[in-house]
Amino acid sequence: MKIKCLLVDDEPLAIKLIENHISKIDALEVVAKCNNALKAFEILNTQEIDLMFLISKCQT
Amino acid sequence: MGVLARILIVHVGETLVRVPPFRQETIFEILIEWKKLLLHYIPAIYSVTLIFLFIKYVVDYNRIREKDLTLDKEKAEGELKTLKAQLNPHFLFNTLNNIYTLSLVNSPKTPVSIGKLSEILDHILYKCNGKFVLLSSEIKLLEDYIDLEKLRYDERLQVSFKTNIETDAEIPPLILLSLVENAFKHGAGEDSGSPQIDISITNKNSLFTFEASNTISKHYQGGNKEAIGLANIKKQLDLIYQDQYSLNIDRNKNIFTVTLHINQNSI
Repeated sequence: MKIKCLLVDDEPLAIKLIENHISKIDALEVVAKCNNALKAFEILNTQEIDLMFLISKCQT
Repeated sequence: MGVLARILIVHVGETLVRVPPFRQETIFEILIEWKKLLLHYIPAIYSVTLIFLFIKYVVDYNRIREKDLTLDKEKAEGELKTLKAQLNPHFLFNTLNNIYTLSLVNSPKTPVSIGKLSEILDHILYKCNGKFVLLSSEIKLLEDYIDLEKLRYDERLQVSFKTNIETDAEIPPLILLSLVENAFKHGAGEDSGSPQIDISITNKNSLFTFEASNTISKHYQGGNKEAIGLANIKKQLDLIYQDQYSLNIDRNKNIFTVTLHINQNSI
């Protein structure tokens, strides 16, 4: 059973970077990604997320 | 003083040059003739002193003015250095991070991006040491900068960059870059909607025009920082162009526009 991850960042390259790092860890898997907090909230409400990678400066 | 001078002239000077016979006043006579002393000898002596004082004053004044001018110049150079220093840390950090990611995912953009960053640093470090740089060279800088900034954002960000250069011109270095940086920082960096940035540069009939406009997010709160940045630029332009330029900042509901006009005939 892998840990389901959500990635939130407004910079696409940063998402790619975290994705790349996560892919190297077997216990983690990326199930969703988005570029703002509102979308993140929506995703949190519709699917099961265990772990969220959230950039602190991300806008709404 | 006056008494001493008169005694010397009457008893030493006149005996040497004047053909005798002539009447010589005694020291006592000289001492009591205070009117003659006051009206003839004292002004004669002090006028020389005054002339020298005046010359010294003029020389000192010129020296101080020269010093002021050098100070002004040094200040302008110092401000230019600040402009240069402002770019480096943030932009360099972001861009290196972006390039790191590009290389990690084996993106074909990696070498191009490194090349552009290198070109930017070359321009800033080695070509911006004079008072002016070629407009064409600054435009190349802006293009590289915009391309690197675009790496950070996805298709949400719309950037247009138009140039219409009739003849190449000389402009103060890095001023345009600061304005473009501002547009990105406040336009794209703080807006997650669909920000748009439009930049245009024209140089026609000796009139140079730069215009940068960016959309601003609803939640944007203008800080003092940008005001300081713009004030610095204004100071620079004041020193170089006096009243031969205009820098207009316009902010309506959701678009922020900076327009710079320079009359190239002025230099």
